[in-house]
Amino acid sequence: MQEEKNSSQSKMPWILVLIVAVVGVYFLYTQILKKESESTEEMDRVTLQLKWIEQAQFMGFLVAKELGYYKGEGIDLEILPGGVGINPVDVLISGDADVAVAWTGNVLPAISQGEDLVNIGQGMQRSGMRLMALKESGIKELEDIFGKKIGTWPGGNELEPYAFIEMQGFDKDRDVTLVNQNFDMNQLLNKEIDLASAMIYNEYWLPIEAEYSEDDFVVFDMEQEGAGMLQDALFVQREYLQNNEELLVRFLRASIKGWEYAIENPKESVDLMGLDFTENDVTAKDHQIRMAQETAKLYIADDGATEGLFYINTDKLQQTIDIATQYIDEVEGIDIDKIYTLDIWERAISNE
Amino acid sequence: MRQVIKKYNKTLISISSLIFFFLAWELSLNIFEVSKTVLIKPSEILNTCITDYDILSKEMIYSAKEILPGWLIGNALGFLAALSIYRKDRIAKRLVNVSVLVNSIPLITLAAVLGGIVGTNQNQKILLVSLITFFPTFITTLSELTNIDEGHKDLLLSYNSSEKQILKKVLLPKSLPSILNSVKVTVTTAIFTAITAEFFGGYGGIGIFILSKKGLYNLKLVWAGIFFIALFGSLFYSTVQLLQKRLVRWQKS
Repeated sequence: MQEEKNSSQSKMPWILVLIVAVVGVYFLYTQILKKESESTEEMDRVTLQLKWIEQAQFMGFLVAKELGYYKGEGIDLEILPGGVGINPVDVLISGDADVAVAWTGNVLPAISQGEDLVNIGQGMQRSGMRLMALKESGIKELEDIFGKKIGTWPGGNELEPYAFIEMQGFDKDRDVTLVNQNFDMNQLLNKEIDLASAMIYNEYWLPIEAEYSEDDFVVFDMEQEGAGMLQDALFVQREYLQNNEELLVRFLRASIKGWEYAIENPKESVDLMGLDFTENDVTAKDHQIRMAQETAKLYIADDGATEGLFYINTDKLQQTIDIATQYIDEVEGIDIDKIYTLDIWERAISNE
Repeated sequence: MRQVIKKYNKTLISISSLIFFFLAWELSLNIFEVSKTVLIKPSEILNTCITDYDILSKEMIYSAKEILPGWLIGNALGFLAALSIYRKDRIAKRLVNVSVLVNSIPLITLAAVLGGIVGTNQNQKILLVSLITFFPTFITTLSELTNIDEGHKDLLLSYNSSEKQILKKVLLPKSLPSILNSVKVTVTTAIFTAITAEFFGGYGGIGIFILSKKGLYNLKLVWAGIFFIALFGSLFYSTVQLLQKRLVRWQKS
């Protein structure tokens, strides 16, 4: 008995060595494989992290990939979809993605903590965020939100509702009840919450596509109420920007081309994206077509039409920073000149 | 003096290793440059724990109102259910098998479904916590009660004892240590369940607090929240441990 124990004990280090060796070989193998796949291709690899799942909100990127616009610029683009629990800013910081489609409001707290992230192109020129309530809830005016249950999406999407609440002179932690909202409108329709966050290109239409009409709701537009922050912008780490300027110019040029096509042909783009459509859901085809049309409106709004797609309007960026600095505790000391560059965009549209 | 040291030896070791751990954490962050969106110093966290004591404890109390009732209901029901059927030998043995199977399913995933049925309020978390803490206690109690020393039983039967007396004199004293051990384990399960369930949605609680502060890169409050959960967990666990020692004084640990 004693001997057996000893022999099994003496085997222990060998087993450990074996485990370490296997893990080590596997690690080396995957690293070599990765290098090889990188070197055998002549194309430059770029990884794009989307803000949310693959849907018409990102049709320009998806269409550009499908139509080979990125290949035409010598780019092998990998698109990483987002989802519940995936924060594109986290993915960008960790280095798992080269470029991220992120909300500026979501990026500002990370920049305040010392991250060096740069906006190279502004997709949506206006905020698509709404807060909506059923008319029967009795909410008519801004001051009616006092004491109400307000649904927000934690994970960096709550800055606009927070600013909106504070702008009415209310304390978001004391005067209202903030509720962790699911990514649908069921809590609003089941009257679990009084006000729900909704994107004009997505959740806003879910109840209307079901059985409600637009007249059933009171809607607060964050942009009109002065709480709007820029969304869906292209962000990169400064280090990546400095080492890959020319690559990013090509990436942006292909993206702009894709978006021009998608905005021109929203219905066709929805088919091109290669989604599996379902019924009665955000992935239903009708819903995606509506999303494509609403997204297009936000891309060509204001400077999107006059200056061109992905133009960065510094007044609006400054406004986003100002609202965030004033109303969000986690945002402070941001210098606008350090968080954007128009250089990439100018070179992309000049076709140099 | 030496005796005192000997008596508190274990506590001393654990306290000093804790201090060493936090010191190493603090100092290594001075040496290595780590992004503030990932990790911050324990001194900063401690500072936040103190300055933001009011919101943190408010959220922790909210979660505690899910954890404690759920834990109590789950354990009480598990114990009583086992007590009510342990004498039906065949059913009991089968139920143990089925329960072990059910217990191996990660029931926390039900949080996603339950949200649609009962809403994402506090009751949903209480329901989940009680469901998940029910099975370990039920299984342990039932298997302990159905497993009696035949010699003891025969002896008591020869004294013409009733089933009630056997339960009181033999079964319960024999089973209590194991049952209480299982109850102790469900403390951690209960905390884990409630906080994970909050990640699926809800109106408040420390889980949601951590989630939303994480999105805002407010790492101080995220870590302070984690500290509060750890503190609550240790307090809860030691209370149960103390109760266990009181209840089974005859057992040498």
